Amino acid sequence: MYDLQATWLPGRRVLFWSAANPTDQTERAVAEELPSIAERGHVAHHTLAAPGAPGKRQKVRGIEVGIEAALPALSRIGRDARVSESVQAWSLACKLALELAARQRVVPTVQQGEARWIALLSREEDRQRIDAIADAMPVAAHAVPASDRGAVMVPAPRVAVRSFVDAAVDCLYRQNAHPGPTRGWGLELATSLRGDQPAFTPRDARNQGVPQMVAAWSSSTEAGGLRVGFHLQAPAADRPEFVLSVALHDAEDHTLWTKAEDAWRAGGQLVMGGRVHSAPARTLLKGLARAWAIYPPLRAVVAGRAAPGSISWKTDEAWAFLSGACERLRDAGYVVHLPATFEGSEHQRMRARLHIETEHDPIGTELLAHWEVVLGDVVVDGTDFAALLEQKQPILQFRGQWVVLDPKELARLPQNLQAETKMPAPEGLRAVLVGDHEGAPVVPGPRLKGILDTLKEPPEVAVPAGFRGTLRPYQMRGLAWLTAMGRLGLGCCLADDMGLGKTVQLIAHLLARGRGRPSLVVCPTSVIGNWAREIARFAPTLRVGRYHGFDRDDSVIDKSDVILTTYGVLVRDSALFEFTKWGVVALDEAQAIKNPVSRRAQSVRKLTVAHRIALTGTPVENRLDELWALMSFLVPGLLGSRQRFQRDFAVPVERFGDDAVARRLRATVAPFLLRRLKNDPTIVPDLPDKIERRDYVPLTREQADLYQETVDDYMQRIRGSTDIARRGLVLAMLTKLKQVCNHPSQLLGEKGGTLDGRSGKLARLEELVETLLDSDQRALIFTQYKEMGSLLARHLRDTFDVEVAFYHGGTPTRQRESMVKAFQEDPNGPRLLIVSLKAGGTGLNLTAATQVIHYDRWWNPAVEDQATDRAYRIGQRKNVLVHKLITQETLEERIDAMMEEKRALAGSVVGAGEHWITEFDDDALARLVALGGDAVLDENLGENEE
Amino acid sequence: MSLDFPMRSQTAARMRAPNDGIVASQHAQGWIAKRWLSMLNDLPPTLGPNLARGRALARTGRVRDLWFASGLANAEVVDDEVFVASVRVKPFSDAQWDRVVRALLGDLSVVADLLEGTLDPKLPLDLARAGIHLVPRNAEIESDCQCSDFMVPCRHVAALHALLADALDGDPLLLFTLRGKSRDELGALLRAAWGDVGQQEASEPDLVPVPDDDDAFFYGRNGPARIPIVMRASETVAAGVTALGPAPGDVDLEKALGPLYEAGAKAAIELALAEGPESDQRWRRARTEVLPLDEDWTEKVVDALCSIEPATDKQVAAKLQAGVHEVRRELLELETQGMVVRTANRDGSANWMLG
Repeated sequence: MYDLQATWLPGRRVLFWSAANPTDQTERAVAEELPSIAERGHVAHHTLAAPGAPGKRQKVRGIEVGIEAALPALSRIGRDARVSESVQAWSLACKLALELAARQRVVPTVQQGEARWIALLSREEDRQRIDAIADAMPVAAHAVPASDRGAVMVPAPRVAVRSFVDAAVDCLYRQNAHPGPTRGWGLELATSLRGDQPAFTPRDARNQGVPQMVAAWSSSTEAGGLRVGFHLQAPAADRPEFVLSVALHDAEDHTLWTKAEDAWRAGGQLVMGGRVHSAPARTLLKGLARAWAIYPPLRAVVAGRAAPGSISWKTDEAWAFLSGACERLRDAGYVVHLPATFEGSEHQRMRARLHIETEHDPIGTELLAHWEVVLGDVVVDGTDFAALLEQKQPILQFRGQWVVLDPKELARLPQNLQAETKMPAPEGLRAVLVGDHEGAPVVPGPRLKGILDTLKEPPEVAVPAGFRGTLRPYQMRGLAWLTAMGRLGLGCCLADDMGLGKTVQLIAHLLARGRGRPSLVVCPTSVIGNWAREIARFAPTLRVGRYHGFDRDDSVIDKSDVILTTYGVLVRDSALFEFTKWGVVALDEAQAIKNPVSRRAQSVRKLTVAHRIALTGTPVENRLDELWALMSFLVPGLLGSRQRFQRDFAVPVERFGDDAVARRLRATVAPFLLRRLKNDPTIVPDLPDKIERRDYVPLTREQADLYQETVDDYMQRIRGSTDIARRGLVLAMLTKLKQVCNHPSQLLGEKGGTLDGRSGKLARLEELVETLLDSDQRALIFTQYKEMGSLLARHLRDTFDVEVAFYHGGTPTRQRESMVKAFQEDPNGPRLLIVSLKAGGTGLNLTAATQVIHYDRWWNPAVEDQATDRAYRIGQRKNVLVHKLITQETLEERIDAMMEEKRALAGSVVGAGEHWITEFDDDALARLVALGGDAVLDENLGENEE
Repeated sequence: MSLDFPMRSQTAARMRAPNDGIVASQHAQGWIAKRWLSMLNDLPPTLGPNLARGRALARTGRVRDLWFASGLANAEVVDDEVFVASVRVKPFSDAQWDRVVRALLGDLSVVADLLEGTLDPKLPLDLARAGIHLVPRNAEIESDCQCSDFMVPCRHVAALHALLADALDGDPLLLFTLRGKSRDELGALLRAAWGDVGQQEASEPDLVPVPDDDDAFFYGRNGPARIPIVMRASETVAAGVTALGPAPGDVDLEKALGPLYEAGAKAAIELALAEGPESDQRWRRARTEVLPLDEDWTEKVVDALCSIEPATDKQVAAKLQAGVHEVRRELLELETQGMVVRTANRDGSANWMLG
């Protein structure tokens, strides 16, 4: 979609077109990326300015839509979406228009006899944002030539943005609402401002001047270089009243200003800070006239006078100004200077603050809350406060200082300040973590604060007894954190980068908990074998029960410390799992429950658990709907209902880039999330440069059947043959079996057809690829077989909708170079590179990859290492994670184990390739290729699709 | 018959009333209108019918294109023909304008309103007390019409008067125009009094040349703008009107447009939150559209399979007239529950059967 451009056309239309593919490619790109545009637009031809020499024009074919159809599509494009800058510019302009419309910063005007809504840009920050969009906008966004001939002139960016935003708010505001109580031209104007009949020509003779008057009124804030300012001074010793004076400020630098009296005398010209401003007196008077339209008492500044002056106000008059008018004036573009006391400086404002404390440690289901009155950080005690209230004044003196007692603020306070209320714990926690409860500040009580501090710096723990192996320092910190969260009964998510050893940390945690309620580990089918192996290796004393497969037996639950199961089984046997009270429930690859309405997410939420844990390698905090799904399991209620979350967090952050909301969200989830990155400087010293891990995967039923057929067929023939014929048969069998393990489709030589759900390896590869794409990493995928390479390339492209490069022996040299360059250097290049080439060619440098996946094995460590080293270079300040996919209890696992054993024993490489296997006798060979009992998982691997 | 309806016979030859006609009110409302129309009361009684017919023309929307120039107002009256009627007012002399300016400068709040294009309707009254009569007397007016009526005023001029009265009530600044100075000219006169004779600052050009730079065509200088957008509903109704201050004139726009503001803001917020085919993360992943599984749906798939098994997912989908994607997902789910099984065909597709 990078080359899809959006151009704002006259007549409130947007053209989507592509410079790269001027023909029907554009239509396809629009249909794919902006379906609602494709549906509502039509093909159109336009002449636009062309890049290059001035005066050049280009004919463009694209899809044209009216603004009403463009707005929905533009509003839904995420702030970080990969779209062209012209599309991004109009998407931003659309969102700014939505914001202005929602805030009702919109006014009616009359243009060419038509009533239209336009954006009200009296606020400095609104004008600045229009300017920012205009400044960043590429020419393509507004490349409509003003004339057919001669030098190409296009609309000025600011003019284009302004007209788009105006058209957008007009479109949004033309709803079918009934006007409020009104008569005469008010009714006529309201009627012309709704629906699709904008013509506005008042009938009454009295109202002939109305169109011009409305137009003048609505454009009266169009600003020059000067701003009118109002300066309010608090009473002083020699002066009992507030004084309001007027000044003219430099629009760009408000610290430059001149008193109105002097500006008035200056008449035609005012020089300020070296800048010359024309017509200061006119600016002053016009500004004042608009100001008293907003706040009538300001008229007194000049009423009945021949020169501007200042006015004196009593306390209540000053408060009337302070409590509303001054904000409205600022909104309208005026500068307002107030005494520091009233300038929102917290230490002189009485505020209501919510104090939240926990009754219990660990936190129960409810927290205690009460309100208190604070001046800055200091709590005002009840009697002082009552005395202040007695005075019934919004501004008053307290301990020798002016303080503000805003009635709106005080309305929050309950009658009885001492009253304590109960609050659901998640809601209370959220308020404390964000420091805000419906606009009021929040502080935690000492006990609650102590608990929260513990989470930030959990007390150190020892390696649990019986743990075999070592934990790296950051893993010890992870264990301490899990322990602290567990003690408090708070759900948590360990989201360390892939390769940092989440599994080990969890196993240590499970071991440290000791015996008691059983724990449950839920994981994808493809890694259940891995889990069993890892627990047996690191914590052999833990009794592990596997509960999955067709012939699963629920008696294991009573006999085990840790139950392993899959998401599929969890859904199917949810009643059984709900029946048990669990100590820990850990979700591995927890992105599996990212769809909150899926059955697995629902099943998981129904479990009774003391301590909920999620493990994931994807950056969950960046994917908000997934974050919600995860947190609703870990700490139910913390993020509110899904609809509220969508409205209050997801849309503002993802669509509108609202940083304040993003910060609030981060503050809320931060204590429950631990994510360390491989390149984190505090982690790097603990890590080897290259982390290797074996991923043991099961076969599917289809694979197992084919595997068994192949073994039966070949073993029979092998037993009856000798020498070269036997050797050939053995090698052929090995090849066939490796193909089965890769994918049935490879063995069967299928052309096309579905690959989903038929191979354990492929399922695991999908999981790995999903995680690494989500965390924006690049990976090399090695396979010995070119056919497998193309199958993978096709499948990954279809599944993830990403570009996948495939580098193999048949790739022409020039194409190889561009492929490598795109992978290495192009930020938008492919992030997956499949390599099927022995040794990968010398000098091939693929260091952009942070992960290497060996889909199948060479049985030759030297070759594999050489391949791995494409991504890894000595001295590189980056860790590479290497996965080796191995089908469990098949020849793959057995050969791998033999090679590891020999390598460990002799430190030498077993004979290259597979020839040494041909020397095995028949029985040894049969044992090598036999299908083990746990090789197959009778579960559907496509279950991730749910 | 026609004799029974004398008024009708008089209007028989009339043209149809124009659809862009301006309408005069039934009764003069403000003092300026009353004052203006009182000039006509002094006319001889023989002119009474003309005045009555003129009022009727003005009240039935038969006058259009009311147009003001320095010292002059005219309009087209659609009667049995179209006639242009005009009224001339005696302009103020320079000395009189001096007095106007001096009087106005005594109260800068009035000057400020004038510069903003509004005028307190009571101002001409105040000026009159100072001896400056903005509303002309009979002797200061001349009128003219294209019709053949020798009586002055004819019914067309009378109609123009009726409209003028209302128009001046609605926009008293027009009185200055009729006395020879448009609002801009009056503004210039006032500004000159405090030494401001320059032009307002020049505005930006509306058109720009295309830069001679390939990159600038598709890329901005510093990448897309990083501006904050904060979707918040407004706390006040018609916040735009509130921020700008009430519009001049006799209509409360906050009240009149309040419901329109609410509806527009609501539409904006709904659109901001709306889901659509271009979801925020479309570009990242293709596999995300997942719907909740629906129990009815499960039964449907099982029923369909019952009648056509063994079948591919495509065949099941065709039978149900449903999407292949959904059907496949349901089949896979049923498979995890052991309700259906599949066998792989040699072409890679799967045949499904009840388990």
